[in-house]
Amino acid sequence: MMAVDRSRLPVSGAARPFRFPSIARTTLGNGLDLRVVAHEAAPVVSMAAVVRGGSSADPATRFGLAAFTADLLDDGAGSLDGPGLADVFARIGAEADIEVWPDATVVSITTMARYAERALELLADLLVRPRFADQDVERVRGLRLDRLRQMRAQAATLADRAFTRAIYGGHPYGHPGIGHPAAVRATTADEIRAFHRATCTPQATALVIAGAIAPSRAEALAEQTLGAWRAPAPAAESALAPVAVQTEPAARGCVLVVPRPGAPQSELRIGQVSASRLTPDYHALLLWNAVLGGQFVSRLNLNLRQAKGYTYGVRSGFDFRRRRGPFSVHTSVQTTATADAVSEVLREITELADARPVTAEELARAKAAVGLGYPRGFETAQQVARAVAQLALHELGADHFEQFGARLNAVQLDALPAAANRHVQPRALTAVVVGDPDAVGPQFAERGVTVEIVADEEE
Amino acid sequence: MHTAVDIPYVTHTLANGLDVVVHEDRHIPMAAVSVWYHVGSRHEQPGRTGFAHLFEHLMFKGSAHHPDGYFEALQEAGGLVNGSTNTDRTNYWEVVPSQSLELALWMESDRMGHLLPALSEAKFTTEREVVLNERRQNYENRPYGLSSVALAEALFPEGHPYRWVTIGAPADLVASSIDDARDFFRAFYHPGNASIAIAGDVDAADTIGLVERYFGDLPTGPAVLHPRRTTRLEREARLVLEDRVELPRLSLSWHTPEMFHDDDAALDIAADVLANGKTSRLYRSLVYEARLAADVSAMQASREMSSAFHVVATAVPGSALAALDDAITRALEELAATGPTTAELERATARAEAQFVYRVQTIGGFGGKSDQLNAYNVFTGSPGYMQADRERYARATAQSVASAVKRWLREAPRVALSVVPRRQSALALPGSEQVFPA
Repeated sequence: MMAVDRSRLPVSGAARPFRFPSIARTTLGNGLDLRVVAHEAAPVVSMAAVVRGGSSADPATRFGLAAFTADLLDDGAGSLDGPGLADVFARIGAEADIEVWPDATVVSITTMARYAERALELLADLLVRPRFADQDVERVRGLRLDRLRQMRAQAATLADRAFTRAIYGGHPYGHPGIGHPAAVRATTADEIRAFHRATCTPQATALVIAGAIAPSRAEALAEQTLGAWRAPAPAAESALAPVAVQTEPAARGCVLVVPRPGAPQSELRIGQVSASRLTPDYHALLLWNAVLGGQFVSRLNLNLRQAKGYTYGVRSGFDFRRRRGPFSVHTSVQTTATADAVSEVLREITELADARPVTAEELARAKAAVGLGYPRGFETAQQVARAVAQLALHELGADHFEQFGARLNAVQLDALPAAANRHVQPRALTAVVVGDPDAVGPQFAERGVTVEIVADEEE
Repeated sequence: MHTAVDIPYVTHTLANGLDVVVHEDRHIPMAAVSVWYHVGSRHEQPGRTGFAHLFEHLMFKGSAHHPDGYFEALQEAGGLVNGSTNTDRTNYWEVVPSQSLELALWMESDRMGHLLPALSEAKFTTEREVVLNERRQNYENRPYGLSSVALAEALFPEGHPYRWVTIGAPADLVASSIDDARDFFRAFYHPGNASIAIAGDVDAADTIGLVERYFGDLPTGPAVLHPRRTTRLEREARLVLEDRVELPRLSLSWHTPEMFHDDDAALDIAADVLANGKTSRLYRSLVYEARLAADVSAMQASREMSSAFHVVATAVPGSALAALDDAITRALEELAATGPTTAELERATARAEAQFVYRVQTIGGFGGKSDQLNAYNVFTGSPGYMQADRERYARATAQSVASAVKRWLREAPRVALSVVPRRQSALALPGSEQVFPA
C-alpha cells in the first residue's frame, strides 16, 4: 500500500456533474403559480405555499397583523378545529410550519410521500378556509403578548429590533414581524379576517411541491385541492415602497446602546439598508461577503474569534429581499471587549473598501467555497422546495440554479470594489449594542464615541 | 402500511481498532465523513469540567502536517465542517464535494494521529477564551440558560460524571492547561476509541481502502474506561434560581433509563402524549384551555449511562407555578393509571415512524446518516441497530407507556426547579432552596 504523503494536502479532482432540479411550471386557472419538482431521494414530499405580502404588508397602525393572521391558520380550518388539525398532522407524521417573512407568508408541510394528497388537502384548508374563530383570536392574542414579553429578556431579539428600527425607521421593513404589544392588543378578529381576504389570494400565491411524487400527479392534486379557490375580490397588491440605500448612519458619530444592566456579554449589530434580491451585483456581493464574514474562515471571524478571542463567532450577511434588505454584522462579544469589537468590525469593513481590498487569491477561494458547495443545498425535498420558493418569490429565471456557478465565476476582481460600494458604505453603518451601559459606556467614551441610549419598549 | 427505511452499509475494523462504516448514496455529488470519539464530559474529572468540549475546539487548530487553517482547507474545497461534544461522545464531520473525500480523510487522520506537535500555548489560550464566550453567550446571557446547570447539580451527587454540563464551569476552564490537553489526547484520541462513518457519493470498497491507507498506520492507545454509574434521588429536591427572565418557569426532572432501553422509547411516547402540540394533554389543559402557561414541553433526554425526563412549563403573568405543578402531576397520575388512548398511541407512533423516515434524507452533518451509523455503532456496537431502535416504538403499548410513567415518574422522587425573575424568589414553588449554579 502506498504510504500517505503528509507533506502536502491531497489535490481534489474535478467536480462531478450535478443536475439541478428540473421545475415543471404551470399556472392554475385562478392565477396560482404552481411549480413541481420530482426529487426521489427519500420517500418524502415537501410543499410550500408562498403568499406575497408578509410583515411588510402590515398596516402602519397594526404592526404584527400579518403574523397574527398567519398564526391562526392552523387553529381551525375547513371542517376541523385546531386540535382536530393537529390530530391529522400527527397521524400523517407531517411537519407543518407557518413563517412570516418581510415579503411573504409561507405555509409549508413536509410529509411521507404516501400522504401527499392528505397534506395538500390540509394545506388548502389552511390557506382558503381558516376559521378565525373569536375565541381562537383571543387565545392567540394572549400567547403573542406573552411571547412579546419574554422577548424583552432576549439580548439577540433586542439587538435585532433596535437595529431594524434604526436603519429603516418608518419603512414597512422597520418593524419586527411579531409587531408591537399595543397593536397586538388593538387588533380585532374582523381586521384579521379582512386582512386574510385581501392578501391571501391565488394570484398572490406560488405553490411549490417537491419530492417523491410524479409531476403529473402533483399537478392533478394541486388542481383538485386549490383549483376552485377564488378570491372574493380581485386582489390589488399594494406596491411596497422602494427604499434607498443608506448613505448616512441612523445616528451620526455615535453608537446606539440598548441597556441590559449586568449583562455578561454584549450583543452587536452593525450594518445598513443595502441590496435587494434582484440586484445585478448579487453574485459579487455573495463573494465579497464570504471574504468579509459570510463563513467561518473570513476576515471578521479570523480577527475577532481566532486572533483575539473576543467572541464565540461573528458573521456578516445580506438579507436579500424584494426591496433593499439589510446588510449586517452580528455577534455576541465579551463585555470588556465591546468597544474594541465594534471598532475592529468597522476597521475591517473600511479596509475592505480601501486599504486592503479583496485579493485575487481571496476571490478564488471564495468562488471555490461558495460554488463547489452549492449542490449541498438540494439534498432534501424540503431544501428543494425552499430553493424553488425563492425563485417564485423573487421572480428569478428558471435557469437560476444551473447558471449560479457560471455567474459566480464570471465576477471579476476589479469589479468587486464598485459592486460592494454600491451597497455597503463604511460611513453609512449603524452600530447597535445590547449590553451593560455602565460597562460599555466608558469604553466608547475613551474613544471619543458618543453613546446614545435607546429604549427597547415599543408600545 | 409503513414506509421502508434503511441505511445499508458495509463495515470493517482496522488492525488498530478503528471501526469503519460506509454507506453509498449518490443523490448529490457530496461525501460525508463523520468521526466519533467515545469520550464526552462524563469522562472528565471534577475540577476540570468542560475539558472534553474545550479539547474539541483544539482539534480544529491544526495538526503536525497542517498546523494552521483546518477550516480553511475544507471550506475552500466547498466543504462544511463542524463538531460537537456531549456527555458521552465527541463528533467531528465534514460534508465535501465527493472529489475531496481524500482531503477530509487526510485531515481527520492527521489530527487523530498527530495533533500534539501543532498545539501551542497561544492556540490553547485563545480557544479557551472562545469557549468562555460560548458559555456566557449560551448560558449566562440567555434567559433560563443556567437551568441545565442547576438541574445537573441537583439530579446527580458529588463526583457523578453527569453532575456537570458539557460546557463546564468557568473556573475549571480557567484552571485548565495545555498539559491537560496533552494528557487528554493521549488517553482518549486514538483509533481504538474511535469510529469513522462515510456516507454519500462514494464507492464502499474503495472508501474502506482509503481509510486503511490514511488511518491504518496510526497507533492504537490505552484502553478507555467508560464510567458506568447509576444513581437515584432519595427525596424530592426543590430549588429556585433567579435569572434575567420575564416569566417564571417550572422544570420537573426525573431519572429514567438509558438510551435504547424499552422504557426509553415508552417515555419518548409519554412525552409526545403529554406535550407535543395542540392534541397533547398538557398543552390542552395548561395553554389551550386554562391559559395558565405560555408554553409547555416534555422530553425524554436519552443518554448512554442513564437518561432524564423533563417537563418544563412557563407561567403566564398572574399564574402560579404551584398551579402548573398540580396540573402536571395530575396528568402524570392519569397517564400512569390508564396509559395513552388508542388515538394518542397512534399519533405518537406515526410521528416516531415519520422521524425515522426524515432522518434518512441527509448524508452528513449533525443527525445525518453518517452520524446515525456512528451513533448506533458506538453506543450499541452495531451500525445496523436502526431497525431494532424503530421496533422499540412499534412494540410500545398503552400498558408499557403507563407502567413506565408509573415506575419512573410517579414512584420516584424528582427535582423541581423554579426559575424566576431576579429578586422574586417568592414566585417559586413553596419550600424551594436558592441555588447558584457553577
